[in-house]
Amino acid sequence: MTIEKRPNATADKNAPSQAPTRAPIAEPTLPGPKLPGPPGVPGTERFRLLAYVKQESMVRVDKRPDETVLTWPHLLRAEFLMAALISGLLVVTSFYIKAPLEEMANAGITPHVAKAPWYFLGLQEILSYFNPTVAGVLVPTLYLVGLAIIPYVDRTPYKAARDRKMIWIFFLTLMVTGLLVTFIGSFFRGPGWNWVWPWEGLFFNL
Amino acid sequence: MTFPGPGDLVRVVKESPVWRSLFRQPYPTTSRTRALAVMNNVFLHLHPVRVKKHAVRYTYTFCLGGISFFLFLVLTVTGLYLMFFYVPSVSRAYQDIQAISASVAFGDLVRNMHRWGAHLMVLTVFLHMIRVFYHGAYKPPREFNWVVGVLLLFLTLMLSFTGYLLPWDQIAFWAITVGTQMAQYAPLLGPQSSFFLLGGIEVGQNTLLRFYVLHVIFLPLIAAIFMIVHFWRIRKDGGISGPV
Repeated sequence: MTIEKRPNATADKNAPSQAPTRAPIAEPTLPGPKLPGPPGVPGTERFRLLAYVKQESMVRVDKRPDETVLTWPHLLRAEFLMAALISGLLVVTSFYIKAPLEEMANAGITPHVAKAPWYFLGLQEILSYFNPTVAGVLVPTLYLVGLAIIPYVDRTPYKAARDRKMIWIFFLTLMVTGLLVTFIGSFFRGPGWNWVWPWEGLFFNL
Repeated sequence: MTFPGPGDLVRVVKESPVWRSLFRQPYPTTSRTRALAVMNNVFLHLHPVRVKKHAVRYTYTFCLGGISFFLFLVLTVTGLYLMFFYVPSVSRAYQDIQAISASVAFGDLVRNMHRWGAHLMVLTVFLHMIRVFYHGAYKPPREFNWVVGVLLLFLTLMLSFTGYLLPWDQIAFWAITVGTQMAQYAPLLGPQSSFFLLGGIEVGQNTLLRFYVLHVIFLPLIAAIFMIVHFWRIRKDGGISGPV
């Protein structure tokens, strides 16, 4: 933290602040509460925060880098519990909900609406807006390439959202658009890829 | 006179040369033996001996990467079981699926687990990516591991997509027809790439065989290789990233 002594109440904001003047050592002074007072009177100066210098190094000065726990039992217990939970969930779901199986494949019978698997329905939705070369090839390619280059675009060392706004906006745009078109393609498209409200009929297979 | 009890039997077994050759050390109860157990066991040594404190908090990772890997294992085991009863032929595939559901022991349960597990894996891989982005865990030195992760996301989608055709029902046939039609419009090599994917001009026997081979051996193998790189790099980059 860099703390600069504030010269006076109406400080010149444009004054160079590269070399902050050191605060004078407070003389042993008068008892009583420290209230903002006129500049130069010891014990009554006001300070302001100029910058918060983030820690970038793994090597810490005042804290040992040993905030660790043993893998056995801590991590193994977490892994075991999670594996048991997911197994249980999967077995119970599979016991009660059957995987879909329709009539045997028949190239001669076109269904009312042919839908891709759900994770490609966003793509199929985009296919109804643009020509196939753009929607079917360029969009998925650029989507994956766009995700892959994130670490090479965002070169700042900061991790907090407010310090990497641009990449957050980029990522959220990809995610939200993807979610939106997938949602529309899944639940709002019926025969002939026409708009259908979910309560008018659901054309969705898992 | 005392009779030998169950405790004596346990002692005899544990002192036998067979047991001691299997388990080279007793159940670890001290920090030292626990560290050794993780280091010396081929399955456990994927982990470091110690992990950062925040890394074992459920709400830090929500275990999403681990769940994805676990689902991959579950899908491998259930898929292997299904392979015993399935022939990738247009005249047999559909009947085989019906037989798996109706007459194979646990066939219906295993098929359902494979299907729901696959959908869940697509979801957890996506959520894992969002979690990693949220924590800025793609920052140096982890840039390339993020790229490997994007490749694994792509492989997960391809694994799910190729598996989608195998039941050879109407859902499968038309979903793959729609999905592969897009390949035709690729610039330059569009028609060729579609033909290469389908093994013909439309979804048929060649497509089924191609998707089957991709689904049961090629893609899992590639995904496994990238997973090895993914996990290895996590270790080499000093474990999972720190909090925001």
